[in-house]
Amino acid sequence: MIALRSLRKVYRIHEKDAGLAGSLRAFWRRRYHDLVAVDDVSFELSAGEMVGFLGPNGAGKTTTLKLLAGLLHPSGGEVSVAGFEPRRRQRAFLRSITLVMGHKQQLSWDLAASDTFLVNQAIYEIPDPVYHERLGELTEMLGLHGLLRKQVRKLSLGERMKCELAAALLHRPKVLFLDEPTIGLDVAMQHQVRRFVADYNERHGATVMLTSHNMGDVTALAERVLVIDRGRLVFDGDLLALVEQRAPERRLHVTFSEPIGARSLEEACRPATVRSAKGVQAELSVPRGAVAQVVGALMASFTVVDLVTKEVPVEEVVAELVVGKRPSSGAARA
Amino acid sequence: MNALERRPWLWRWRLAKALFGHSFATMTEYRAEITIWIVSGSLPLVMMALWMGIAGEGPVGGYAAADFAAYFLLVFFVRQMTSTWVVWELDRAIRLGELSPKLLRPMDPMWQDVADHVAEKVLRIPIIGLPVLGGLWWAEARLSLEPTALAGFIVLVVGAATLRFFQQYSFALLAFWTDQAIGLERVWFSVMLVLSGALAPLDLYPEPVRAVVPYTPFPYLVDVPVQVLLGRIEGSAVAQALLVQLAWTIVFVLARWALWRAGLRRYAAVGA
Repeated sequence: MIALRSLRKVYRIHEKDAGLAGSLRAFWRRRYHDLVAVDDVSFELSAGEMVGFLGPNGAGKTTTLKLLAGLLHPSGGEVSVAGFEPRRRQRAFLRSITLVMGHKQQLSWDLAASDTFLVNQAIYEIPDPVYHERLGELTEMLGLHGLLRKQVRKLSLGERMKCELAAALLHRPKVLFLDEPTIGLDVAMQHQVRRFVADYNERHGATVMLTSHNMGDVTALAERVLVIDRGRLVFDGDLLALVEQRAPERRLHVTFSEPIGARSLEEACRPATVRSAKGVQAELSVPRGAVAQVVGALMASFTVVDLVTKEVPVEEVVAELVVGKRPSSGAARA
Repeated sequence: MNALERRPWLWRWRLAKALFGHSFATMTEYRAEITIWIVSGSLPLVMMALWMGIAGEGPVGGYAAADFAAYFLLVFFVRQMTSTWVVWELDRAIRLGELSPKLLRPMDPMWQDVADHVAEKVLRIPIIGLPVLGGLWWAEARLSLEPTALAGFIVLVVGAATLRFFQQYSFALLAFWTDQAIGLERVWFSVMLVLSGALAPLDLYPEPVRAVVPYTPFPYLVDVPVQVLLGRIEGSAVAQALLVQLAWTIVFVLARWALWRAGLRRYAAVGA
C-alpha cells in the first residue's frame, strides 16, 4: 500500500544573525545551508497495517508524512501510496488518503462542523444515503452527539479534534496519515481518539501511519514501529522485540519495612544493579533470567513489604535508541 | 444517486451550492464587519461632495452637479460590487502553511474564495442597493435605462469583479516567493484609484492620460461600466470595452493559473 525507496528531502535554509546588523547583512548577502530533513528512508507498509512513527522533534516525521501525502516533493528516491505517485496529486489519489495534522485544521472556525462536512460531501461526491450512513457511524464511534451543530470555535480542543477526524474520514480513505492526533488532549480524550483509530482500522481495513511523541499512542495502537532520528530510519520492527533487544533487563520496584542502606542492598541483590534507593523504596535493574534469584535473595536478607516487576518503559528504550546513535560531538541540530 | 453518477455536472452544481451555502453562512457571521467594509469604501461619496461643490459654479467638462452625483453614486455601487480581499487571505495561508489542509482535498482551493466573494456581494446588494437608488432619485440622475445599456452595465460589473479577483489572486500567489505580495497589491490599488475613475471621471483627465488609459485594465474596473449606464458610452464602444475587459481578464486568469502551478511546486520544495 505504501512503499518508500531511498526517500530524501533537503530543505534550503536561509540563515540570518539576530538584530539589525544581522538583518542588514542578510539583506545584502543571503547565506543558505542545506538541511537534510529525510535521508535515505526506505520501508513498506501492506494494506491494513497500522504503524507508529516515532522520533524526537525535528526528526523528520512530519516531513515524511507530507511527502507521502503529496504536499512536499521529494529531493530524491521514490514514493508510492495506494498505487499513486503522491507528488502528482491526482484526484483519485487525494480521494484515497487523508492527513490529519494535530495543529492544523480544516474545519471552518466560524461555522458548525456540519457545514464543513457538507462541503466535503460535495467535494468527494458522496451520495446522500452513503453520507448519512457514514456520518451516523462516525458520530457513534467518536461520540459526536450534540457537537456537530456547535460553532467550531466554541468546541473544546478534544471535541474539535474528534470533529476534525470525522471531517477527514467522511470520504472513507484507504490510507490515514495522522500527525500528532492527540497533541494537547487530556488522558481520557487521548484514550478515546486511540480507540477510535484502532476501531476504524479494524472495521475498514485502512492502512494507518501515526506519528506521535506520545509513546502511549504508539504502544496502544501499533505493533510495528518506525523510529526516525535526524532524518534517518534507525529502527523498523516489532515494538516488543525492540524492548527486548534494547533492554534485556526488567525493573524491580521494592518496598521494605525499614530504610535499607544502598551498599547492603547492592551486595544482597547481585547480579542486579540499584537504580535508586530512597528510604524504604528501591528500584533495581535485573537481568531477565535472574529475577527469581534476586527476589529470593532480597526476601532472605530484608523484610519486603511489596514487590513489583516491570518492563523498561518504551520511552526509555526509544530515547536510548535515538541518543545512542548520536555522534559524541553533539553536532547542532536544526 | 444514480442520476448523480450518470451526470457528473450535477455534482459540480451540488458543489457550487455547498460552497455558496458555506460562504453565505460564514459571511452572515461577519455582518458587522461587512457594514464596516461598506463604510470604508465611501471615498466616492466624498469625491461626489467635492465635485458637486466645484460644479456649483457651473458645469465642469460637461458634468453638472447632478451628473457628478449620478457618476459617483454609481462608482460607489460598482466598487462595492467589485471589492476583493483574497490577497489578505491567501498571503496569510501561504506564509503560515494554512494552505496545506486545503491542498489535501480534490478541489482547487480558489473555488472557496470565489464562493466567499460571491456570497459577500449577495449580502451587500440589499444593504447598499436602496441607499444608492434613493440617492440617484434625489439627485435626479439621468440614467440610460435601455435594455442594452442595462445589460452592458451588468455584464461589465460582473466582468470587473472577475478581472479584479484574478488580478489580486495572481498578486497574492507571489507570496510563494516574497513576503511583499500585499505591498505590491497596495501599489496596484493606488494606481487603480487614480486611473479607474474612482476620483474623477476619466474624460476630465488630460489628453495624454486619456490616450493611454484605455489600453490598461483600470478603466474597465470602474469608469467604463458607470459611463455605460449614464449613456455616455454607447453602441460599438460598449462592445469594444467588453472585449478589452475580457482580454485583460484572460491575461490574469492565465497568470493565476501559471503562478499557481509554479507556486505549488515551490511550496512543495521549500516546505508546506
